[in-house]
Amino acid sequence: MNQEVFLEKLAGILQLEPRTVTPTLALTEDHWDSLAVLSAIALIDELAGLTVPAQKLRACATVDQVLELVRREAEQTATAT
Amino acid sequence: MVARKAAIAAVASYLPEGALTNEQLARDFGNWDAAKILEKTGIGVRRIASESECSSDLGVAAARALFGRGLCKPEDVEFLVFCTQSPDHFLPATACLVQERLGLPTTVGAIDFNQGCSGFVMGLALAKGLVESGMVSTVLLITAETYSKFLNPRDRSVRTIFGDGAAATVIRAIEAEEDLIGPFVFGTDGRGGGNLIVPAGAMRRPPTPETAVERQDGDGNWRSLDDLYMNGPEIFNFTLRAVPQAVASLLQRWGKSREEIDLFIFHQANRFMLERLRAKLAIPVDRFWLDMEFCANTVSSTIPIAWDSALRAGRLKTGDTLMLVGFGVGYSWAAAMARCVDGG
Repeated sequence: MNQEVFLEKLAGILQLEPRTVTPTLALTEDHWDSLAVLSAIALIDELAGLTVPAQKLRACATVDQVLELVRREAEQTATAT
Repeated sequence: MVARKAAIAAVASYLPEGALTNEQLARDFGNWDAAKILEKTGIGVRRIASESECSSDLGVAAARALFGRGLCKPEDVEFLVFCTQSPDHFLPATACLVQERLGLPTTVGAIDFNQGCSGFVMGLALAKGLVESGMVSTVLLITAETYSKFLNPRDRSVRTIFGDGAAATVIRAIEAEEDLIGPFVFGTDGRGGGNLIVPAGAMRRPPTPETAVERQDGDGNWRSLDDLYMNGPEIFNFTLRAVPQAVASLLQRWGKSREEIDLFIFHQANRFMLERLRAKLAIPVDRFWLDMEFCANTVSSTIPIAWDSALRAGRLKTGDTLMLVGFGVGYSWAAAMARCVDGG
């Protein structure tokens, strides 16, 4: 998944300035709500072609954890096929 | 070679008069305004059954709309299939009560079946079987839902999405060379059962003072075990996995080019999910039905309500080929090809 494109579009979802959306950004209730999670699911499907468990996605405390979740899911999918 | 084929001969729908608007929701739940709700969900109003209106009432009204347009006569119906998850009673079947109210002959077969978002397409499969086997010539398929009665007033996540409504569809035997309904693709995955459920109130967990205790979830929504619970994100995941596969399987089974499909009617779950599916499947916007502003998610009725709306809007006409895809609660999904045989 193209990380740069993901971060840029994630900024739109979180309604934050793009330059503030880095891997170290903390995801708080202010912007990481159920709607944001739904949008992130769509984005991950669009960019990475896979789905990640919704609960784990919601539980991510930083953007980096989201990226890590996607990486792990991609690996699992790759080894399964 | 000409053979006996089942065809969708007529569709009518009914929405109750009660309404829940975005303005009312914005008042009930502080931090969203009406414009944002419309933008996020594609819904402007949910029609809501009154306290005294049950699924039988909505179903009867839809069938009467059908009869009133001269599209079918009560005495022609030989089998009534009634799809609901909110029956008037556990027993008798709501279909039996509807038979009496519609004045259908006492020689009809009548059954309820409990299914949600995939209900209309599943119902078409049952109707096709009844008709093409030669058992009957005219099936009345009614989908009728009153999910509003399952929703906690303080649960924004579901009150925003669901509306009540019903549809009545006539499936009739006609002589034709090609299938006019079908092929079908089905899917069931009970692992998703807990993601859209009314946990208490039936046999597994009867209602008690304990099941009525309301609790607040992490999003600030309140519900008890007697209320409907929906895990939106997980259901979204499921649809992203299951629906594209079902569409691909159906296309393979059908064997023709998707260019020949005039209109795709997917279960109108919510606009956000549908737009993602449309883009993922590369279906052109002008061939993808998306209109839930006036009625929200009416569960098993979304597809026939869309069919009825598309016909009235001139978007669907005689001879058109459609792909119908229902998916959701269960998890359950079903997809079928269908031909519009009478655009009147």
